Formats: sequence, C-alpha cells, structure tokens
Amino acid sequence: MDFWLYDFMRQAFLIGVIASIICGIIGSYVVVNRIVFISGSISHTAYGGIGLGYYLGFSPIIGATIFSLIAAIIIGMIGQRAEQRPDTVIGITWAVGMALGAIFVKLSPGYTADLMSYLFGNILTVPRMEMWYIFILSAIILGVVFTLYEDFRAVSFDEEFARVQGLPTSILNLILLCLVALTVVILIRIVGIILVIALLTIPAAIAIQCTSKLHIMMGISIILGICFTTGGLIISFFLDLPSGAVIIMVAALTFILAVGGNCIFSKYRAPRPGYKQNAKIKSRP
Amino acid sequence: MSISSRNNIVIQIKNLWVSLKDRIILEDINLTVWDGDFLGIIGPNGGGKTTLLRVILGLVKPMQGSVQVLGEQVHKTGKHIAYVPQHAHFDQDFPINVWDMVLMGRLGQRRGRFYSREDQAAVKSILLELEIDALGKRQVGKLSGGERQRVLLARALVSRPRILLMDEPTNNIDSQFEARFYDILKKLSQEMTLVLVSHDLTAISRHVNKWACLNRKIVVGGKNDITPEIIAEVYQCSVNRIMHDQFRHIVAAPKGEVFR
Ligand SMILES: Nc1ncnc2c1ncn2[C@@H]1O[C@H](COP(=O)(O)OP(=O)(O)OP(=O)(O)O)[C@@H](O)[C@H]1O
Ligand SMILES: [Mg+2]
Repeated sequence: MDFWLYDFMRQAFLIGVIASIICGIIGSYVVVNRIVFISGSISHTAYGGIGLGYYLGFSPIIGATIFSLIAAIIIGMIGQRAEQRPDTVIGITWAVGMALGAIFVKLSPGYTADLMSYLFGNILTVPRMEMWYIFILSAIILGVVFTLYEDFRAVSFDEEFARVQGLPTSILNLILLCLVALTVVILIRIVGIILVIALLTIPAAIAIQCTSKLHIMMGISIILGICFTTGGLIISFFLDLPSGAVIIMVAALTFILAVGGNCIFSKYRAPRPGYKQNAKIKSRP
Repeated sequence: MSISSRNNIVIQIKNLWVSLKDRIILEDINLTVWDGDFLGIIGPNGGGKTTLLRVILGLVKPMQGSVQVLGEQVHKTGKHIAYVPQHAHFDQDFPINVWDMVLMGRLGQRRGRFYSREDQAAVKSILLELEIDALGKRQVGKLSGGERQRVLLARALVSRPRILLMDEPTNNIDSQFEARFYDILKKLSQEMTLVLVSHDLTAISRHVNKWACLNRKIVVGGKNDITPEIIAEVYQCSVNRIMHDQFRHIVAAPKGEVFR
C-alpha cells in the first residue's frame, strides 16, 4: 500500500470521494431527466473558458465555471421556448465553446503545458487553491439539493403537474442546469472535459436499474463513483497510466458487466408458473 | 361548506380565444362555474376540451379574453386546483413508486421543504379510498393503464382541492371501479367543484348539474336540458348549427336552473 504514503495520492483520494458524492447526486438528476447531452454540451463549452483564462491570465478553472454557467443558462432559457429545437441549441453551444477555446489557446502568450490535464483530467496535480474551490462548489451544490430535493424530483418527474401545483418550474430547471455546470467544473479536474459525461452518467445509469427510489439511486451512484475513482486511481498508479482515462475505463467496464449481468439474472429471477409470488418481490427486474 | 359560499363563482371565463400554432382552437368562450357545481364537458375529438382545461390551469396562454379562478388570475391557484390529465407525460423509467407519486399531489401544501406526517397520512387514506393501497410500492412506469388512471386520480385528490378538473378519467377503467368512481365523485361533489370531460354521455347526464358541449365554440346547459336525444344531437352536429336553432335560450344558463 505504498501509494498511501504520498501526500498527493491522499489528496487525490479525498478529491475523488468528494467529487463522487456530488457526481452521484447530480448525475442521478441528469439521467432521470435525460439531459446527458445537455451536460455534454455544458462541459465542452467550458473549454472556451479555460482558453479565456490562459489568454487573459486568470485561473482557467474560473473561466470554465463562467463558461459552463453561461452555457447552462443559454440552453435552459432557449430550451423552454418551444419554437427553437433544443438539440440544435445544445449542439451549437457545444461547438462554439470548443471553437472559442481553440482560438484563445492559440492567442495565449507563453506555455500552455497543462492544457491536456483540462482535456483528460489529472487528479494528482490539483493545486491547493483549486482543491478548496472544489470543496466550496461541492458545499453549494449539496446545500441547494438539500433544500430543493423534492422540488427537483417533482419537476423531473412531471413538469406540467409541478407547474399546476405552483412550483416555479422554469427557474427550478435553470437552477438544476447551473448545478450541472458546477458539477462539470469539479469533474474537469478529475477526468477532463472530454470524459466528464461518462463519469457523470455511468454510476447513475447502473444505479437506476437497481431501485425505484431516487434517493437510493443517488446513494448507489455515490458508492459506485467512489469505487470507480479510487479503483481507477490505484490501477493508474501501478500501471503508470493517465488517471482520468483509467477511471473512465473502470466505470465503463463495470457498466458493461452490470448490463450484461442484468440480462442474465433477470432470466433467473423472473417468476415461473407454479412459483408463489412473494409480496416483497419488486416488480423491477 | 356554508350556503353563501355556494353562490361564489369559482371559474369565470369571458370572451376567451385560444390559438395554437396559428390555428384557432377555442373561439369566444364564455363560461361561469359556481362553487359546488358539477360541470360535464363533452364534444368531439379535437373539439378543444383538453385545451380549455389547460387554459384554466394556466398551462396555455389565451390569445384574448380573461380567465379567473377563485377570483384571481390563474397561476396563483396551485393549492386549490387539481387535475387528472388525459395523458400522463412522465418517463416510464423514472425511479418512483406509486406512494411517492401520490405524495407529489401535496407539493402545494407542504409546510417545509419536505413532506410531513400529515401528508403521508393523506396519501394512505386516499390510496385506501381508491382501493389501490396494494400498489403503493410498485414502480409507476410498470402499472397497467387502469391502475395508472387510478393513481392519477389519487394524486389529484390527495390535496383535497377546491376544484377538481378531470380529463376523461374513466379511460381504461373497468366497469366495477367505474361504478365506484362515480360514487366517489358524488361524495366529492358535496365538498368541491368538479369539472369532468368525458365521452360517456350516460354518465354525464346522470351525475352532472351543468354541461358544456365544446367544438371550438361552447354551448352550456343546465341539468334539465339534458336528454339523451339532445346530447346525441349536440354531439354530432356542429355547435354553430345548434346555437342557431333550438339551443339559443340555454346558452349560459343561470344558476337557478340547476338541481340541488
Ligand atoms: N400543443 C398543440 N399545438 C398545436 N395544436 C394543438 C396542440 N394541442 C392541441 N392542439 C390542437 O387543438 C385542437 C384541440 O385539441 P384538444 O386536445 O383540446 O381536443 P380534445 O377536445 O381534448 O380532444 P379529445 O377528445 O381527442 O381528447 C386539436 O385540433 C389539436 O390538434
Ligand atoms: Mg382531450
């Protein structure tokens, strides 16, 4: 267990755990709302902000925060107008963010060595300041979700009904997208812009198959996320491979096993003729 | 409920015009619903029944005209109005069970950010009343059509609203529960205002005290105007023609004509 001796490894594990908690919660909302591609768009737009940070000489992670929040607001506002097709807006925001990023990076003076760590993540090299920034964002996200848990659930499940009940559904949707944006910023450090959606959605996509309760889905996603990040970290340490990519591979392999396993198990679990139905059996496979 | 509140107007629609995608769907609608009324709405497919309910709920914006619910412009009526939609628009895979879905009917009444014990008790009693307490733990997406219809009804009723709008709630319902359903409505009509969209003319004529036929325009009548022959005729003819021959006198029937 010599990896535990390194300070940067301990910090990496801590960040991984915090990020997995946020990722499990927000990722569950992303999956049940079917806004995976909106999240993809928000994370790629962040590249524009990273470029701007390099260009103007401020922290790229602040630039990423600004750009992904702007993307969330644009997509949220336009998505609520029925005339515009939401998928077009999602695609355009995605591309414009990347294009701006490329331009800014090219224009930037000096050396942009750690650019790759924003694209593919590097949990081992997070500066202290950024670690605190991640903790603060996490606290904000947790606070908002704790206050609005039921409201988000209602809007995600049946928006029209929530509106009839007097909930401000447009604002709630917008807040949720902003939380996705902040989550993306946290995850960029770990797996990078390009791999963010995988880490955001794979734990939740596995968890949704196991339960018919949203908060349990969140709990399972969090545990899976912690397994993926710590497992991926350890493997990458021993094999000397990029940590972000290994984390995603661990997640993806688990996903494939879970889907495959589910197909096989549901055959055995299905009640057969003559089988006495137990009241406790869940209807979900 | 006091006698005086029976004379309050709960829904008042004046000169309402609605267009969707540049097509006029509702034309010059005038409708007054009083506290304690049981209004039945009939009309051909595409006549605009669902659209009218959505206007009352504030989900569709009128092109022209005014809609007042409980003396206020719509939007602020969440706690008092409940809705059984014709089609449920939720995701089949959403991780939620029947109990939690019905609990969402209490969204407008929650005291804090979460549901209270009182809310849970309300869910329990409504599930018992609608004979679906056994479904409580089932995932909502896996229900049969009729089971889902009952759950939608439970979600609407759990808030004990002052106005209940129902859009073809007996779709997919078996005949045994249908009889019980109308018994429940009868009981509910003592404590709240009911609006029921239905293609089941017999049921409408037996239970409501006021009816409206909607086919872009509206014709409103009182209990005594409903005979099977008239309904059959209204249903088949365009509202225009009916307005022009025998029905002119019953448009916007005054309160005095209703039973009670
Ligand atoms: N979102 C929409 N956009 C455009 N047109 C619409 C929309 N919703 C409904 N319509 C149109 O409005 C008309 C009235 O529809 P509505 O659903 O109110 O009819 P309905 O009386 O409820 O019919 P049914 O008996 O079939 O339920 C229809 O012609 C329909 O095509
Ligand atoms: Mg309809």
